[in-house]
Amino acid sequence: MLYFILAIVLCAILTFYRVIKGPSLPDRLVAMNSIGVMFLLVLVLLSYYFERKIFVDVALVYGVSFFINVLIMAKYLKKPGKGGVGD
Amino acid sequence: MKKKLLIFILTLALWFVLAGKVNIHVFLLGAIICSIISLMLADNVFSFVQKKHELKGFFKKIYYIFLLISSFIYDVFISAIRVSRHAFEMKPSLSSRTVRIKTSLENLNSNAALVNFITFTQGSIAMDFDHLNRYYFIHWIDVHGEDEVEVKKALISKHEHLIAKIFD
Amino acid sequence: MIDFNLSVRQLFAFVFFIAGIYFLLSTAVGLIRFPNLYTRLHAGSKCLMAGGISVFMGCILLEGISFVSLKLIVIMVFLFITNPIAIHVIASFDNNYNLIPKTYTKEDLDK
Repeated sequence: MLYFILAIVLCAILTFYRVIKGPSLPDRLVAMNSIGVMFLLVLVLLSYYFERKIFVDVALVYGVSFFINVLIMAKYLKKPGKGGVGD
Repeated sequence: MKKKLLIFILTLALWFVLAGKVNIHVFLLGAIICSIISLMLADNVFSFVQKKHELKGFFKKIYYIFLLISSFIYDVFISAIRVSRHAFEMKPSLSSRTVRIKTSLENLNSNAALVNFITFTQGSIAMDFDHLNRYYFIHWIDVHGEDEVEVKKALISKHEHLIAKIFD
Repeated sequence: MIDFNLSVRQLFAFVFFIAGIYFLLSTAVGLIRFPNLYTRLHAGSKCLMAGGISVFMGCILLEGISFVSLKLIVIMVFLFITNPIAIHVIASFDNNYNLIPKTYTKEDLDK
C-alpha cells in the first residue's frame, strides 16, 4: 500500500512543474485543482495504511473546503472593471 | 400538525441511525435539532413532494436515473483512455476546434446537468452558455473533418433526451 | 474459504489501484506536455476523475459493506458533482475576459 501512496505523491510533484512554469493564471489554477484531488486520494489511502478509519472524515472535510478554495480563487483572479459577479 | 409530527419522527430516526447509540444526551440534542428542522421546513418539503405523487412515474424515473449514471461512468472511462493515449504519444496532435450548438432544454436544473455531462464525455468542454439564444460554446478535440462534427452532435442530443425525461 | 475470498478481493482492488495510478500519471504528463490551455483542461478533468473513481472503487472493494464505504461513496459523488463546475468556471473565466494564452498552436490559428 505504501508504494501506491508514493506513486501518487510522485504524480503530484510532476504536476507542480506546471504551477511554477505556467504562462498564464488559469494554467496554474488547473494544476492546483489536480494537485488537491491527488492529495485527497492520498488521505484516503493513508487511512488504510495506518488502519485507522477515522482518517476518512479528514478527507471528507478536506474535499469540501478545497472546492470552495478553487471557486474563490477563480473569482478573485478575474480582471476587474468589466462587470463580473464579484464586483 | 400532522406534517410536522411526521417530519419530526423521520428526522429523529435518521439522527439515531447516524449517531449510532441511544442515550439521554443524544436524545435531548436530537430533539432540539429535529424540532427546529420540522418547524422550518414543514410546508416547503410537502409542497415539493406533492408535485410528483404518481407512483408509476417515480419508478420509471429511478430507471432513467440509473441509465444516466451508468452511461456517465462508462463515458468518463472511454474519454479518459482517449486523452491518456494522446498524452503518451511522441508528438501529440490534438486537432481542436470550437463549435456552438443549440439546446431545447428550458429548465435551469437540466441545463446545469447537461453542462456537467458535456464536460466529462467524448473529448468536449463546455466553455460558455448564452442565456438569450440558448447556445452552448463547446471546445472539442479529435475532430478531423465535418462528418465527425455531426456524429458528435448526435451523441450530445442523445444525452439531452435522457436528461429531458428526468427533469420534466 | 474466507481467506481465499479475501485474497481475490485484494487482487481486484490492486488492479483498480494500478489503473487509477495510470490515469493520474497520464494527468501529470498531459498537463506538462499539452500545448494549449483548453487541451490542458481536457487532461485536468477527465483523466483526473477516472483515476479518482478507480482508486475509490478499490477502497470500497477492500472495505466491503460498512459505514466507512458509505462515507467513501459520499466523497465520490461530491467530487463527481463539483469537479466539472470548477473546470467550467476556469474555462468561462478564461473565455469571457480575453486572457490570451501565450502558447499558440497551428490548429488554433487556422480555426
